[in-house]
Amino acid sequence: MSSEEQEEARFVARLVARDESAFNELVVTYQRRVFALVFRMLGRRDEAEDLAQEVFVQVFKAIDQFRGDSKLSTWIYRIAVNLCKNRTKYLSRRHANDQDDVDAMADRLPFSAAKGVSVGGISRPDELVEGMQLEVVVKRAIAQIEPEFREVLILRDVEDMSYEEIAEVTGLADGTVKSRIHRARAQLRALVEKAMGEKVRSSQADKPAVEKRSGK
Amino acid sequence: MSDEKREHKEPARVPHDRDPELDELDEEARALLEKEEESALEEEGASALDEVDVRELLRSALAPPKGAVAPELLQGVQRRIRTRSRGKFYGDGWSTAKSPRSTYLVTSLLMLLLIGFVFFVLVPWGGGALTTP
Repeated sequence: MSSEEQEEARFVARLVARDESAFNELVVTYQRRVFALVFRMLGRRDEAEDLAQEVFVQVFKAIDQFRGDSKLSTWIYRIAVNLCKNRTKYLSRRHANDQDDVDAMADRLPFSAAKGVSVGGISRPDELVEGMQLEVVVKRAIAQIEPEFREVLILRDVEDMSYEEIAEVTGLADGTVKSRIHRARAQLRALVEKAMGEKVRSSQADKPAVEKRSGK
Repeated sequence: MSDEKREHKEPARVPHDRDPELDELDEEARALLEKEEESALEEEGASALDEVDVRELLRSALAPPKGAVAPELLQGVQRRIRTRSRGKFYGDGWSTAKSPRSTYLVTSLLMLLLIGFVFFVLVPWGGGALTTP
């Protein structure tokens, strides 16, 4: 057992003993990562904040069941992903997952936030706007992907998890994880391409109208 | 439409680098051709999104905006646990602090100092009272 694993085992022992200071450490250590994951999954800040708190409450309640087969972080992620699934189902039943906040956030973002949005440096104002549009298109596309595909795609491409870790977190077989990631990328690619194609066509359609109005 | 007019319009559909008659086109028609080619290239580029591009797109789109701060969850989590455990955990008002260990330590030291001060100075049968003849 490595020193890191020993340290984690000691920490888990404190958590199992319901050491409140150890639990405070746990929350402070993982709150950013858990909130980021949950926010990406749900796309709504208020829901994400509520659910991230619930993740830690569940960790506190169920820490006795942590057997140390996986890393503590993986176990916490599994709880977060399961709660996200349940919440998504609940929200879809209530017709509430319309991704308002993601769209609103994308619309509210200042242009300065678009720096580094696309690959390569952006220096011209028209490139900045294009970067922002692409970001909005991708966010909307992610919101449209089926939840089970979105989940694995975010874990793999954004959270940088290995296939094995994703299998542990989601409880899926390795092969299923790989095929879902592949299909999720294909779905996202198709949605982005479709949206970008529409944008190109709409901008082309707008140009002659503008030219006519300006008398050219 | 006369043959003359038809001959004048048809070359606009042919790529300009291969058509010798393009020179006869006015500036406006040439600009229109260039725009059409550019938009066709854009469409081709969009369809060439590969796996790496998807990953790059996702990362950039889902990256938190600069200056965005994740919420502090600790107090909310403590409140929920306190409520659900009916005060069994985080119920004393001390352990809800971020660093209760240091809080306990400082409080203990202060209390010891206070007890010592009371014993040696204020209590008549304390250390000060015993040394007097």
